[in-house]
Amino acid sequence: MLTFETPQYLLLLLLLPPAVYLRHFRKGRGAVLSFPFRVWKGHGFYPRQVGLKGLLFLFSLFFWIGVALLIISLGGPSLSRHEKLFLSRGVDIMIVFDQSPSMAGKDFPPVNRFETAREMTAHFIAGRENDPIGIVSFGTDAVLRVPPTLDYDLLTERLGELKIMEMGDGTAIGMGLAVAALHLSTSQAEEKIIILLTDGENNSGEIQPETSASIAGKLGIRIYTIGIGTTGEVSAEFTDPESGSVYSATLKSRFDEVMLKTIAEETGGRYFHAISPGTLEAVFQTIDSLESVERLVKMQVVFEPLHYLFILAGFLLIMLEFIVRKAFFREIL
Amino acid sequence: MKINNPQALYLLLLLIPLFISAALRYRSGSRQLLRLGGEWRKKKILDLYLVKFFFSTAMLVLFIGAITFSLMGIIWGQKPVHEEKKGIDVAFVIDISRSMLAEDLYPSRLDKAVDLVRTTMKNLKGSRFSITVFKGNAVVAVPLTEDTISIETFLSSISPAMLSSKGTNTEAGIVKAVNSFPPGIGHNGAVVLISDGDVLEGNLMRGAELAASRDIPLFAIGAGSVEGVPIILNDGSVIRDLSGNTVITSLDRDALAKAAERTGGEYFDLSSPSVSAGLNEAVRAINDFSDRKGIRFRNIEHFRFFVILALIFIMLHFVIRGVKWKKDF
Repeated sequence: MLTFETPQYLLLLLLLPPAVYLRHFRKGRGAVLSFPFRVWKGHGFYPRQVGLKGLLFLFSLFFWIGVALLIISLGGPSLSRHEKLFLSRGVDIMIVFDQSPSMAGKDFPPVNRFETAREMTAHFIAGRENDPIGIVSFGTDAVLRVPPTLDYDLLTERLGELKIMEMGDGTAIGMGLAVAALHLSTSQAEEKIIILLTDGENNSGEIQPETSASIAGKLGIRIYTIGIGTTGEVSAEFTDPESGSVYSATLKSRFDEVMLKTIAEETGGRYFHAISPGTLEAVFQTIDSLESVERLVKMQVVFEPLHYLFILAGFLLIMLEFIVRKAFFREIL
Repeated sequence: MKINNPQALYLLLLLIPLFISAALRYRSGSRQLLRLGGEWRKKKILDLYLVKFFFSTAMLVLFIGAITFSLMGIIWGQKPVHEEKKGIDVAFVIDISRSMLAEDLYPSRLDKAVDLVRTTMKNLKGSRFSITVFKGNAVVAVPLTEDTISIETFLSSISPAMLSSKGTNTEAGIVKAVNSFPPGIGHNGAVVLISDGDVLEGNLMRGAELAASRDIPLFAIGAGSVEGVPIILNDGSVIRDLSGNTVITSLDRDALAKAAERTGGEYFDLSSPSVSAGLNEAVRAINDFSDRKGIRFRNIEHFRFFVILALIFIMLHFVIRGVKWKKDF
């Protein structure tokens, strides 16, 4: 929205109509040299110069518009926009993402478990405000992809770069939780949570999930566990990111529900079982509503000054009028 | 007094063609006036024409001068404004071009830069930090976070090999860092640029302009020596240019200091023993302002005075031309 810092200067615009009258319409105005256009006692002739005069007046308008723009610049024109300023801390969230090959299970249409989980995670991130969010992913090993940050654009970008089996073909749930807990340990937030998304059993890594959960609990971190997928045989297809080979297989899908429940309960979190994209979405919505904190927000108005543009435009119009008068109309003064 | 846009002074170049055309116009104008007005009132008309021409041209020159000053963004004085932001977010921008491997600082410019980042993080405990690295392009390696472990992990592996692009584009680094501050986070932001200032691409001042427009001070840390040294690689060889001459990399202190000054930040030498303490004090000072009952002092830009002068001059130019002084002219 266009606003003015000192709008009282705009009153000067009222001086423009009389100035235009005095310059262009008043009888006996200056910058005119009278000389005879007829012979002694003869008939005069008055060449019709409507087009020329119209053009001259049009360029005079440039001058007056230029002056008006300079007057407007005195008012301090600015573009203002409202911006939320968070005065309190949000919840620190670490999303622990399973990248094992079983995540390619096609029981989550339209593509597979991995793509659905990624899409729902992206929606979840987009719905949060002022909550630092990070991503840890795991396969045979676990790695921090993004530390807890408010830079959601970068977070979503990195989430989109995750690939199935990038971290090997194992499922190191314990390692994933441990890495997430480690990177939340320096956080000064009052509320810290981990959201674990997995479809398998812990079969890799040096740290057991229960141990990681115990560490997280001591650090005041709640863990929400989400078991993804149906049980039984599921067809899967994925591309090995290293070799580029496409693998197609039928997996026996199962996950350690007891372990996931234990982890969640021990840390004060909750366990969810998502058997379809719809239920996974509902799970994220539930976590979203459970993890809402009271926020202290102030709406502030941010101003972007525009007076430079008005001054420059006014100056250019005035100079254009000057150049046209001198070069085109060959005005001598 | 400070000047925000010194490049506006280029407008004064308009005066050269204006003077030349004025001289030509006066000559031809006198001739035409005589032709139209007649020899019988030659002196009367030409005397008046000279006076009117001189003053109207002088007013136009003054108008251009006043507009130039209004566009220069001249700053003096400060005014108090209410400020809600508390706490500091620091975006480190680290030059990882090969010139940072030069050993004029022990053990190398880059290692010394990493040491400074570590010390600053320790000094500003509780703040959030981000790391942007740049060569020919820039990448936010660690987004703004409180997680110092992830920053430490990154710092332990920092090297010029992280980016494949060649060159040194400081502008790209500053732009990435400034944009890494999410909006509305209620903290004061600061950018700490560590570079030898050996800019090969981009425009350092453009980056500084962006930081200044977002009220983010830039603290520039100059790595290296003004005299310059060759760049020694791991295998002991030195980098040479296409002609086989040894490439000498030297610190461009002036460019870095100018960029820092533009944003209200400060310049420090990485070789100085007090660099860490100085940077710590300067960065903390941003927050100290906002802790004083939420009041911060902002610079006042004075453009109205010059716009009013410009309006007066252009109207005088107009009146001199357009108002009859005597019956004839």
